[in-house]
Amino acid sequence: MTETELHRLTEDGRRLVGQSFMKGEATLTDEQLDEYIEPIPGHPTADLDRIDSSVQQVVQEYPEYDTAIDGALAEEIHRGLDITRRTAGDPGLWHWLAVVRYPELIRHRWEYRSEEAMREKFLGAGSDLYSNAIHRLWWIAELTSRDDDYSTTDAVFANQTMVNKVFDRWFARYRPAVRAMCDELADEPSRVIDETTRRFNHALTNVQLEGLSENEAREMIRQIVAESR
Amino acid sequence: MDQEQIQINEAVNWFFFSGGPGAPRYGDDPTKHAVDHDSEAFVREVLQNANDQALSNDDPVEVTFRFVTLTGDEKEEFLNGLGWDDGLGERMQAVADTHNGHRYERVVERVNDSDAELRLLIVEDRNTTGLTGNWDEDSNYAALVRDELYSSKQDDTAGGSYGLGKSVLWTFSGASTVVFNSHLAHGEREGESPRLIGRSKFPTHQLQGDDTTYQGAGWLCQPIETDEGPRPDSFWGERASRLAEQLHVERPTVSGTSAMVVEFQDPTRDERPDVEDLAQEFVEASVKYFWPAIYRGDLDITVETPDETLTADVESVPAIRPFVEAYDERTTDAQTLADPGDVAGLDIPVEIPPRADGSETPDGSVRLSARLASPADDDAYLNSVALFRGAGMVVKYYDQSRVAYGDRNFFGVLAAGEARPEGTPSKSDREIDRFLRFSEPPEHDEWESTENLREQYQRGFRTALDNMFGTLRDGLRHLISKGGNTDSLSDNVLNRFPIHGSGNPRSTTSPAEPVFEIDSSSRFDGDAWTISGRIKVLPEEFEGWSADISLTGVGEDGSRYDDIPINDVEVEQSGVTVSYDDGSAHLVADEHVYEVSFSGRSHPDEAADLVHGDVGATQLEILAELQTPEED
Repeated sequence: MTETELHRLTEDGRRLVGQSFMKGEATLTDEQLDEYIEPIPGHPTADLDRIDSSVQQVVQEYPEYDTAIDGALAEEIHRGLDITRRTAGDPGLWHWLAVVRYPELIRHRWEYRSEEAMREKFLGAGSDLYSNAIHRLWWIAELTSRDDDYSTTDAVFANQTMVNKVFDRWFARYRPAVRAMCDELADEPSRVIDETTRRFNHALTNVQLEGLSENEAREMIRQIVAESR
Repeated sequence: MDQEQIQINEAVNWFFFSGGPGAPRYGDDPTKHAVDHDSEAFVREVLQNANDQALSNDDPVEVTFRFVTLTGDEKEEFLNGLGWDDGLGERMQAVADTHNGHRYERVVERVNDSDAELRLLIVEDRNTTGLTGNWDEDSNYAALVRDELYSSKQDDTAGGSYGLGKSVLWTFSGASTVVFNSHLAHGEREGESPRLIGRSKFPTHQLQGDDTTYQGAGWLCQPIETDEGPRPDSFWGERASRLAEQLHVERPTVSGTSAMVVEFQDPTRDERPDVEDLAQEFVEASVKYFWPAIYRGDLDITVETPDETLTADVESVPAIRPFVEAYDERTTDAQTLADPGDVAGLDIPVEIPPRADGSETPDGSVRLSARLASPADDDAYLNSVALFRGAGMVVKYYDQSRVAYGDRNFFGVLAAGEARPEGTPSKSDREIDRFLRFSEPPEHDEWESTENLREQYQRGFRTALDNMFGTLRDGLRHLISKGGNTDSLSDNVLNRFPIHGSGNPRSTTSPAEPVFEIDSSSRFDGDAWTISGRIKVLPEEFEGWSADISLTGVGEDGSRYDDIPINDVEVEQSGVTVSYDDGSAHLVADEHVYEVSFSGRSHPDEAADLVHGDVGATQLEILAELQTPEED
């Protein structure tokens, strides 16, 4: 396994991302990019070779815009990028990965529907888990895996309603709650997922989220699921 | 050189007024120090001048910035045309020798160094008035060529009202010299266009072997004798054309003015940037400050270099795009912002005092709109409000980052005066435009209390501005808030606006005054919400009014859910009917009811549990609307 140093795209570098680049009609040369790429404090590294080959394989095997690409890659991306949450909190890292390392993957997975939507896939990140295409995969895996066990991660990506309804909420940042939520909702229909996440979010105006253990959250969610069916 | 060319050169003359004993001395052009002078300011001032001289037809004003670099024979030819050896060079050397003449010395060196290039910038505008009028009258021509700090602008909506802007042309000329070539739109000598004249602004100086003290200003011109002594006069027609060509300031035969800045340089920089970089800066500055005019099709701007032609369109500067969207969708009915990219808007009432001559001014409003930012937006001007009026120039990006919170960032637009409506401006739009124009200081970068306002309006102008900005800030807070905490903030804010909820304003009372005073409270008593409140009508004349009362559940992250159905509402006063629709209560009051106190309950839920999402943070919302007699 070879470790490659990770970089970040600077804020000014975001201006390189125009419509034609996002559509894949134009590429950015190393010369254009050079000026806008900088090291990350602490010089984190990652096994990008591993991610390179998974990405290559997925792009070949899966048709364009197939949502199953998410599940096929999330674990690999999370394993390959063994970084701290502090490093993962830097939007520039995700911009670098999306714009410089894996733009073909972004275009293969996401159909260009509007400039704004596509910009988000390349240049989102930060407080919105759901935005940047690669950031989203890594964080969801980070929040749902247990050591080497990615079964919850797989279950989440098998159900796009869950991805949408759970990870668009604030409570999705709290690992005990999000794991319990994903486990309990894995086999439920969309309607129940919708109602349960809504009720849980409402209940959290009375209950302090970070005060809940995983078991307490699970008990609360079980009852809400039962009432939501 | 052919015969004709020689004749023209003979006619070229530099004319300077002599001061005479005891005449005032000028160290240097005083206006050079009056405004910040970076290239952004240059672009802004120059475009504003062109924009103000628009002809009253539907054609846009077109402006081209053209960079020309001259070396070798071309440079020689140019200097001949400029009369360098016929007076200008000698004077510049004289000025360079004075104690503050370093800047001129560098130009003299550049001229004499056969390897050095001269850089010209030509600002060509089209579909504008051109330099009409004569030396001895109040005219465009006199304002630009003769006067200092004197404005002769088209009308009340013009961007400038001080005449300071034009001074940047000289400030950015290393030689302090500018040549004008103009095609006139109207005026007695329109048929003799083009008209050409050069003007330099030097400090007071003396020539070697000459005891005369010359004032600073000089003209490249045909001096003529008048009853009051010699005066500079322009070249006209064929002669002007020939000289224009030699000076790279020739122009198409459409009305407007070309101004050629001799040896363009940015006085705030030590280095000499590449022309290509300068061109890009010009495009960005043009879009940053003039996107409203460009977007409305009133202004077309291009920047030419020897290698390329750039167009300043609103798409070319990503940092500006969110503002364009906020302006484009400003008339939206939406008053809340849910997702990134959403636009919501409000009318901000403006009450202007009577004019100084006592004539009344109509009250009106300006339009505030805001677009919720997405992480993908270019955030160079995040959380600011672009202020502009009919001239289509952004006066400033008003920083309102204190209003933003969490991930609720925004781009705001305040479209005032003639920039507000999509169609024809109303009388009040025109008055607001005029009022705000007089509230701009010489730099045109604020709306504030000025000497001009004091001259034009009666007392109350300061309060009018303060109120407008106060309401703007409250309105912005209302738009940016998630609508999750109406208890205090939103009720307060709603009270300040004539429109409550959706629907169009029907109030014909002064929109600056609140229409309702509303108090309310709510609590959960074990199995249902108990609500109570008081709604008071403030205006004296109305035909009746109505109010919708609703309860909405709110999530931890502020998202709003379905309504919590209201079971019953009781009203103490008579003349009020209560009905229920889709879980909310609807009150209708007749013209005798000035105040209503109500109390009520939501549907009871025996099993209500605090931890299972049955009961949680809940918002009580009261939207009231007044009906007033129709105005004839």
